[in-house]
Amino acid sequence: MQRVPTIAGTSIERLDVDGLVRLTVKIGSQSTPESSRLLTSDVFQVVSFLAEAESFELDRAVLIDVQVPTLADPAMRAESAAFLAACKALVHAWVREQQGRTCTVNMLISLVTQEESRTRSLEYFADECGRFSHGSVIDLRETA
Amino acid sequence: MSSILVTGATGGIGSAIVSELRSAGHDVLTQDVRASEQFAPDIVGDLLDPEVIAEIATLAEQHDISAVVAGHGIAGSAAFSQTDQALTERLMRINTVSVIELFNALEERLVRVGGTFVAISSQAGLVSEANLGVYSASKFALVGWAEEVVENSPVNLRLLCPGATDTPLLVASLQGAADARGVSYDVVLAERNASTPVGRLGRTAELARATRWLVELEEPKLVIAPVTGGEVLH
Repeated sequence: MQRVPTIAGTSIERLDVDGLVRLTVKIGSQSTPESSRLLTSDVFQVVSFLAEAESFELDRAVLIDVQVPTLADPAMRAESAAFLAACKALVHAWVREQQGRTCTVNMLISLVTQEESRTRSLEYFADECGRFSHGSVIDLRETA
Repeated sequence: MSSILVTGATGGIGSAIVSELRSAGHDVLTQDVRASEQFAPDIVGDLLDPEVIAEIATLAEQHDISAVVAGHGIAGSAAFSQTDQALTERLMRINTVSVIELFNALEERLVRVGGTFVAISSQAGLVSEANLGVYSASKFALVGWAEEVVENSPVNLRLLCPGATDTPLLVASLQGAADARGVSYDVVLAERNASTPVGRLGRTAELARATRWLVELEEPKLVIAPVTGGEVLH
């Protein structure tokens, strides 16, 4: 039996810019017949990053920045949606676990093409006045 | 007469679901990774094995399956700092990926017969909990996946999101927590009960009845059903 294609080519990169520690996850648009990496090893990379964030200084802001491609395949869109929901759960669990003892963590979801809105959002989360946002999951796609 | 496939059928909740469905007159095909002392499932095999999924797809045709209850899953708690790759991948593969792969393997059949797919999520799939980060992620993922699938698939999707339920798994978990704190099981149980507005754990029979309701419900396309004693409001 042939397996339904899953997402391949996701890139995950950590960037420290202007006080904002950002984990940028660019969900891949390629497909593979293999079992989902996005929902296993890629989820672990987010877990690992959040575990590391426990040791960050209190004045740091952390952002999980997930960029979603346009996916034609419905099964891959559903896999992508599952990943976004998993990341949201991780951010919320992290906030509950830390109880304010560490830096702020938020999550930004955008389409790959929403560069300008993403840049403005990154500026907000890097800003000192963005620090009251904690555990927020902002989905820019809703207003795209 | 069409049948209902139940995975994780020997577990505390799974076995109650099988009993409930059979009591209501449904023909039930059962799967689990192993047989229990009380119960030998029709299919014994690991859903992480593509050959087992393929076998289920074949049996689904032979047994005229019209509904699936994905009742399998595992628990797993750890703080982020204690969560390793093996635990993460195991929780995500069993609780999420195998459910999606089971759906994908049976979707064509379920579309053909106007069928229903019920997945057992958790209240942790609606509200994340401390020290349950990856477990919550694995259950949230099912909700996110279902909300997207329903946009394209005519299969009826139902997610049952149980709260703390009186199963051997939970009793062992509470006992472990009691041992770690040096208090009695009854103390931990009383604290757990106090956190739930109805003041007690859920019963497997209650979840089994909720599952039958969801299986038999003909509309709408997507139902997300918290059964949590009021602990999680959704």
